[in-house]
Amino acid sequence: MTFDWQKIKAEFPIFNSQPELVFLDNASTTQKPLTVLDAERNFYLEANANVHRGVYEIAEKADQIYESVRSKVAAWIGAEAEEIVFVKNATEGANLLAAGMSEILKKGNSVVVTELEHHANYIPWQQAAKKAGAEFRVIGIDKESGDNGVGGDGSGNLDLNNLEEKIDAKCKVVAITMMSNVTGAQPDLTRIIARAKAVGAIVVLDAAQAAVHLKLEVKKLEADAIFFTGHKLYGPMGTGILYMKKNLAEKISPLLFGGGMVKELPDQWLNIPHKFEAGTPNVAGLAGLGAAIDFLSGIDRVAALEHEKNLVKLARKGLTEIVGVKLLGDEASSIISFTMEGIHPHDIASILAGEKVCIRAGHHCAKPLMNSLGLTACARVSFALYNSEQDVEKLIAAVKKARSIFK
Amino acid sequence: MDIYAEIILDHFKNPRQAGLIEHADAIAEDLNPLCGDKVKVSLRIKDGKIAGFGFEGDGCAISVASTSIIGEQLAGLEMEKFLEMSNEEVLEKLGVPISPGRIKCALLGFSCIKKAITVYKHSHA
Repeated sequence: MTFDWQKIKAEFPIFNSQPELVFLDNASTTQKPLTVLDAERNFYLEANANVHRGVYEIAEKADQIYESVRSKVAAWIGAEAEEIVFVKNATEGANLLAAGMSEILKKGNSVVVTELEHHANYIPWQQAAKKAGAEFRVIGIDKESGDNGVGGDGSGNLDLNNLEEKIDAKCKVVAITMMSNVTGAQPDLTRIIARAKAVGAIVVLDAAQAAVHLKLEVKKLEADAIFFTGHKLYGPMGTGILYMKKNLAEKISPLLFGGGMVKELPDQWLNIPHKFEAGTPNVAGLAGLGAAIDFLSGIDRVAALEHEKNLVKLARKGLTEIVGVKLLGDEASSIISFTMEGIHPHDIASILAGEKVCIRAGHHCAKPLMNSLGLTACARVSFALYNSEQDVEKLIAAVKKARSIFK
Repeated sequence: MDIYAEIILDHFKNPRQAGLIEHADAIAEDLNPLCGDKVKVSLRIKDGKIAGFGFEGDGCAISVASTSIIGEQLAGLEMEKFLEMSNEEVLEKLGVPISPGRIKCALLGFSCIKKAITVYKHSHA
């Protein structure tokens, strides 16, 4: 089945106002379809009231929207509604978990992360371990052989040779990304989770990149917690999801205290998930997130993924033909990072910006990985459903222009 | 004019005063945490004037070229005069349009030289 990207693209108003835009920075944030914008606006037009405890009609409507999005998210990832906590982004999800676990961790325990992590799933755990006096361990990438210095199979994936030593009986938390935001590498979760479970560690998955590309089935994944953000899956900024298994959610303390989470003072909190949701939430944004999930549910995701894969293939081929280009990472992902001899990634991004091709350059908030790869920065191209072969052609032409300027 | 005008490319490919000077009176290093651009500057100061300059830069064309262009204009300049220089004046000296996203790159060398001179002033006050 062919994927009708034109029909999809037409649903995104930014491409009407900026028809020249070639948006290839989707790992950073995606554009929003009109249905998402409408859902946010309609909340303010028709139901603007605070959630919880209002007895008038629009307050009840606001409550209904809020809780229906929770149920929608739960159904989308195969969870129970009470296992879904609304946060403002993936970072807050990770911080909530890490702060909660820092009270449970003890001296002599260890926390394990990987070199593939975004800082959001690295620093909170580093700090939690420090606070608890626990050991902070990092699973490195496989650098033994392969091209580009990116690993045995060139994918920049993890070195799991000594997994049993890294995740040993001391380990209480394994926090790991489902998809690197730099190389797109997807760690062998089955193996890592099995090992974590064997030693009784809780498993935390960062799905910030994966949620839009993979079908999340939390029960199958056997993770204790998974977090992701709404704005990378065509939803609004300021919306994030933290899935937590009931027994974990009941065990850990809230990150935020205040209104909307108290059962009885001094310190009895509401049941999960409400104990984690102090303060007025981003109800309009969440209404938009609900629309984003409807949008994703309404497309053939297998065909969509195939479409993205074809673009990646085309782009990788075009880029490798340009002198001095080195590709990093995994062919199977929708993210392509690269470097070019004699030209800094920021200069690449600036020249591309001049051609209306939007990419990102820098360390991508993944310094442990960049250090391991021996890079200070790289350029990153990342695809979404509305991208096309024409976008790839413009990308390649713009990178060729960069090459000719810095010859 | 384009940001990657000949002047920027020329100074990027052949930075003037490349390399740190020996027996420097003032040194400093700085980095742009957003993109990892790094610069290290060294200065010789005589009678309140800049008497020598050299730098090492690892970064984008804008950060390296801007440090090189500013460096070219330092000889004999009173350090007080340099400290009075504004960001706008520096951007003007570069002679190419710098977009908001690249201003930090363009000013990295300038702020690093300022830092070196300020530290020197304090230690010689």
